[in-house]
Amino acid sequence: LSNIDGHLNSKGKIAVNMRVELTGQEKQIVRAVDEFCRKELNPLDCLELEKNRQFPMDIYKKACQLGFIASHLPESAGGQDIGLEGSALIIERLCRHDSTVGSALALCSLGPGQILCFSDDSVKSEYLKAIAEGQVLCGTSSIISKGIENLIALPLLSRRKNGSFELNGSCQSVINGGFAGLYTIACRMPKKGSGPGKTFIAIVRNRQTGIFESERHYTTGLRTIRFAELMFDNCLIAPDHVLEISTLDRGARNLLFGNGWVVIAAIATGIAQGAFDLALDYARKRKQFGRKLIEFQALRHRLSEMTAMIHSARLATRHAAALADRGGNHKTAGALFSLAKMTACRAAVEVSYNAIQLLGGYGYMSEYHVERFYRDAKTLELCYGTPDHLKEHIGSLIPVF
Amino acid sequence: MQRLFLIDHLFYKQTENKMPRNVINHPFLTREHTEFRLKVRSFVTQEILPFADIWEAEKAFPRDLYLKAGKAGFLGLGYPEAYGGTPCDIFHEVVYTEEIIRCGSVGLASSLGSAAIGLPPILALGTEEQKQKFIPPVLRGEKIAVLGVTEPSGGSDVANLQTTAQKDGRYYIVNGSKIFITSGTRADIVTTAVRTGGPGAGGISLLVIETDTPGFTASNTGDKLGWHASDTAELAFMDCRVPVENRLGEENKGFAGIMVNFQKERLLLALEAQTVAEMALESCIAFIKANPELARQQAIGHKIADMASRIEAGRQFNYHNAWCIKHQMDVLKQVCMAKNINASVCDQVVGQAMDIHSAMGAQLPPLLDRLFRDSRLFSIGGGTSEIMNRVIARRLGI
Repeated sequence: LSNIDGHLNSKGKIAVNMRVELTGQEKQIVRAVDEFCRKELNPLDCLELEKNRQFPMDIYKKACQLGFIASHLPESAGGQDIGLEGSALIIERLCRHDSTVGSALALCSLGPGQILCFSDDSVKSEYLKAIAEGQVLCGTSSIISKGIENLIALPLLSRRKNGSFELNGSCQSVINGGFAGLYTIACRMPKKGSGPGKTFIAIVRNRQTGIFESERHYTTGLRTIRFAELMFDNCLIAPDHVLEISTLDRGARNLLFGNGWVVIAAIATGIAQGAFDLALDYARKRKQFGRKLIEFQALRHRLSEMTAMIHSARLATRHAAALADRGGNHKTAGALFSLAKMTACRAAVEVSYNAIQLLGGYGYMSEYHVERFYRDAKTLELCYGTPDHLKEHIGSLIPVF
Repeated sequence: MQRLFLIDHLFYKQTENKMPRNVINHPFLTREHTEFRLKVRSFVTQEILPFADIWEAEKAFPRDLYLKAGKAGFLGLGYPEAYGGTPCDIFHEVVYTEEIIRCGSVGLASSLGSAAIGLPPILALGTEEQKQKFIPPVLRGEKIAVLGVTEPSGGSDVANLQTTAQKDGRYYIVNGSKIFITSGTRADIVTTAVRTGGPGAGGISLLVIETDTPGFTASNTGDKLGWHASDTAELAFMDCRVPVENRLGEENKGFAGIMVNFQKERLLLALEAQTVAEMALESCIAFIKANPELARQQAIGHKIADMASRIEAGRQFNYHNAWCIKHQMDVLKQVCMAKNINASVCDQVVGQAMDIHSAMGAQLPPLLDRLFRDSRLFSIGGGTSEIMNRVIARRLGI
């Protein structure tokens, strides 16, 4: 368990040059996203969408047209080819503006990121372009990191005689479950004897026979996203629609996991920043005891702590994104993706918790939006790997630091 | 509805008598308290638990429940018999609070108990006539009493309230508004803080305002993070004529009446936070026992141990404070400390409970979701953590 930092510098294992400054192109992207948010993400409309637990389909389609969804995909696959670094910037801005609708849009990028790792080019081109253009909505189940294979129940994959596969069983908490045109589903092929077996990702189309949606889950936050359990009954899957995770080389595997965790870390950073913006705005206007809140030292210090948390979340996210973009072939990269998700989600929960505190009784009211950010942050922390799962993953990689 | 009373019996072994095993014992509690606990528990199990989910979804509970609680003697705990109360020591109130919160809906419990902050100023400052008029119907559950202090312009800054009451012969003309008033839309009497004099705490009086007074309106505050079963209201007073005989105590001396509430209100909030944390812990332990893969994990075991330790520390602090209040000691400082500690422990424990429940990829139990949303108010209501710290620092001479 040696000094991580020392290894970073001396051996150059994960010495990725991380730019902190934005390039001119990135600044342009940020301006474009901000303009989109001002026009399309009206806070009252977002509140209404969340109340009705409705996916923001119109906004999603417009975001697709502008290339804000799955923008890290290469241009050949309908993306913007700006890498996860650029994509993370877009996602952060969207979620900063509105956590609930922003995260609903951003989570649609998880599936395409997984499809990108499939080897068959025809499969990729068939689906990715349709997703990026907004013709098809993609749903995703949680993928399984090292250390929690035994914990999560996955649907079972079995091989048929003709070489194709069959999916059986149920999959919990599928994002856009029962609502998407296409799913990427993590599944498992049991080993003969004991042990969890190998993990796969399967692409499943919604119209296929043998796929059923059970009830939509009630969630604490992220209520514009439909989380549902999907059930499979002899659901047939073509061989080129199945990806065996263990056959990927380390770089591809890093990309697979990195994509999901970087996207979520970027959402969390955005939520934290958005909650902070609301709190700061309130603290500047609200007067108590004859002074503005911001003039109280204890509150200024609290805001400072929040800033520090947001900053570390953003740096961790950007670092992870940079690693994924350069095809980071380091063992440690995997740990840094988990670390980014863990750090950013913690920051989102803590910052939004404190933002409610700054608003006091008003913070508890839906009308002031910040309670939504808090619920979304906590729900995000729980999905796609809980903090314990991530610690397990990081812990399994500590020996290589 | 999930079973709520799984393993209360975490801390003490019951050996001396044949009480059910799942009853918390404590050196400060007698057999009488335990019997009372079971009585409240059976009330909660029969009258609230089967409907709690529905009432949460409907964002209201029937008024009938006040009558039932009044009939059982729960609303009059600690009040003199002369006003229809149930004389008892403070640990009956402690036990009542712990058990009523176990209905799993903090909003319902708080709304049902709104008289606990609405009546004490009347008891402390009111004349015999006022007490006879206002207190008994509330303790019977026929009328609902609430406290109206917080205003849109100032929550923490109580002494700066803006609602005015100008004297006009035998009446006060009241103008202004109040916000975040628990049980406000259904209230019959509002113990209202108004400005009758100059600025600051020295210009405040307390009036009991009956809600059928012309010019009074109450509207629901709107959607909230939690406390869904509680009807939180915004009150508006437009030229309300309130008889002078409804004033509690002397003119401009009302601030003391607001202060009488603080100690007990904060003790009860700390106890609510403690109980919510206990419920989250219990549901975690049950979940882990049902999932052997989790039970084998050392980190989970240590996390549970840490949660239980902090809850226990908070509980002992609360019980200590209750004991001091029972013996007429001023423990406002300690009560503020305990409120902050219990509220933050509660938030942490509920958050960790959610982490543990999500470890298997399943969705959260509805109870835990509600506890998460409800518990966020403990560090805001009854004075924010910042106000608690202000009181504590002042009492420490800083």
